[in-house]
Amino acid sequence: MSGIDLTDATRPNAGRIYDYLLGGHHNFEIDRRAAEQLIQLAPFAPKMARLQRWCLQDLAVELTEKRGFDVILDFASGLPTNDHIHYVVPEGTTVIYSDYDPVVVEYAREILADTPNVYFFQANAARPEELLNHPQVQNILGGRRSVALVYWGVTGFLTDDEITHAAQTLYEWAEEGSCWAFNAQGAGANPDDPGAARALEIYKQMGQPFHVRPLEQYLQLIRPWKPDEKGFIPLLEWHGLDDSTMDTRDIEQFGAAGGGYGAYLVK
Amino acid sequence: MQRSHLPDRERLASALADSLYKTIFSGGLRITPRRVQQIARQIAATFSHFAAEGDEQKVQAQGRTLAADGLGPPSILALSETLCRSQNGTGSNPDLATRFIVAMLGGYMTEREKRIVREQERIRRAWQRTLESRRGTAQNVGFIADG
Repeated sequence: MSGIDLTDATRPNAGRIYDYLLGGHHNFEIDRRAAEQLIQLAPFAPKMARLQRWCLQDLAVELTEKRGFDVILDFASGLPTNDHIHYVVPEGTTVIYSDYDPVVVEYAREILADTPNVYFFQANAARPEELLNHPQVQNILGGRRSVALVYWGVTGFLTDDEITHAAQTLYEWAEEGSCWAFNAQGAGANPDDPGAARALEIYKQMGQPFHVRPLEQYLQLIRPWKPDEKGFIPLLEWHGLDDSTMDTRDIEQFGAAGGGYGAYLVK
Repeated sequence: MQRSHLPDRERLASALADSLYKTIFSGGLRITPRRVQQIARQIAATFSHFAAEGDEQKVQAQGRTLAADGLGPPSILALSETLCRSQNGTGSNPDLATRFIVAMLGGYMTEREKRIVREQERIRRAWQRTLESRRGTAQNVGFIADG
């Protein structure tokens, strides 16, 4: 995830492609062209992006109202538009967003300027310590470490080592009882499908490879965190949908889960 | 006005929900499958109220809310088609659905345009501030190197 100039508008960027797939405006012609190429090769990609994004409000409610957390640290947040976490959490909840794209950070600071208890910092999800050790974050937290953590729609862009590092860092930092909302992005997809393979090649050429792994591999990488009793839920099932929303080609490329799983990991 | 000739409100809500489910992936960011039933019931209620009171402002407000919720154009068109179809064979004034749809689309399009322009302007300003900040950093590095 590092080594890319995120303000280079002459090269497509994975974050802005994702934004385009979701129907956003933080993208350029070069991103839109790359995204359209992706859609040609893997038509389910925009649906997968939506399935992921739709989870955010669900998990915000789950983490606060059902599990009682009053602090959420979200990594690789993307644009905090009004479908995001802070929009639905109870009053008084502290939400700390982060993203490594400086434009996203600037945008966020403008729209969140008058929103109490909601903050946005520039940090890389591959190195969660950047956010955790940020002096302002430490000041906001005031020593609180019983928190909810969120990695959603990002793990496909992290290497195995980066996920392992994040899991261990967060586990060591967080107090017993903390919860990590985790999206096993792309789990169940088939990287050998010719269309999927070419789509993955596009990301590779951009210098932002997307890593497809089976769910079992994710389970190894996130240790010592463990999913709660519900386990990893397929994204389609998460939203009460079934695979009738996918055609044969979609299922061959993305798997019947809808391009990934979500879970609440517990310490 | 024509309450006795209206399609059953629950049946209408169910038909509207079906049309939203069919277009759910072409909708906006913020309409999740979990909210579909609730939105469909709201529209059906507004339609009933419009049939009884003829209050176009309330319908326009509903259209604005749908845009604010991020409903996409394919979904609003599907809703309009369902509303039109729902009037077939009910014996109600054929203009009723048309007037409702015109008012709803009017509110929707006004709000959508406003939101798109505002969002694009926010993105432009964010880019401008980022690039200015980068330029400032680069100049400072230049001064240090020159010095």
